[in-house]
Amino acid sequence: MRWQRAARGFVTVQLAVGSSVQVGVDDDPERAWVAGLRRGDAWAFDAVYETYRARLYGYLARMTGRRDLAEDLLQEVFLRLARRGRELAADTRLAAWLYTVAHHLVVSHARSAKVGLALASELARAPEPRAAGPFEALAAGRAQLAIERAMTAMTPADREAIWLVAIERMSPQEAAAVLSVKPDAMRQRLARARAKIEAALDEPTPLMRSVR
Amino acid sequence: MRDDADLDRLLADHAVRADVDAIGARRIRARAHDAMHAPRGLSFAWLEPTLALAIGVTQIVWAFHAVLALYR
Repeated sequence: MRWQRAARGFVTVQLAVGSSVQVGVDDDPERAWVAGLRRGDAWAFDAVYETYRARLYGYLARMTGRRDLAEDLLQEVFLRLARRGRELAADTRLAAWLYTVAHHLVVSHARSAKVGLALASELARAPEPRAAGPFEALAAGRAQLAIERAMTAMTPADREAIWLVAIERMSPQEAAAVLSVKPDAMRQRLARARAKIEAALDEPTPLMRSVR
Repeated sequence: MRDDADLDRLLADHAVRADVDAIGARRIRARAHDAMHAPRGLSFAWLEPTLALAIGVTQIVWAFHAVLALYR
């Protein structure tokens, strides 16, 4: 077996006389993963899965408020990637692609849930208590709890905007494209979300409140 | 007063990191691998553009004959 540099992001591995395979190297892993997905390589899928699984799960859980539902939607995102991997364009940005699919799944679920809720509210008109966020119970420390509470208190639209920009490090323009909103709307969402975070961080702790 | 970058960093640093449990993660991965290697069914993606092209060509031919008929 012989290794040979072929192109940016790839090495060619000579397996035997007349047979070779191209595999990705680290200088641009995403491009190598997309190339692998276009060939139907399982290793490329696994690399994407390991990189994005927890991040997408965190997003889906916060958007749906339910970890079991987040797991179902996460499965659907990766099933779509598995089925459509061969159709990806060579310059596909995986984060944007995965979050676009996840966003559409969340919206689609919210629409069907709304129909279900409308039906349910006719049967039982009791008001629902404010639900805690899916990860508030796991928060360790004041700052973490404040951040989780701030995210729960945001509207879903503001929450996903700040998630894509702060956690996924997308530019506001890129996040706007993923969520199919205008840049101005994205700026407003980000401003509202950041105001909520700031307010939550500045809120006095229960101990400080009792001292006052 | 914190600026936007500070707030984004605080969010990124303090948001609870969670993952699917190991069994769920393995199940999703196995299903996706199955989907990746499943034989593809019949695809009719070619049908719509072909029909659109055929209708377009028919319209052009019809218009051409109409112009010819007018000047004959």
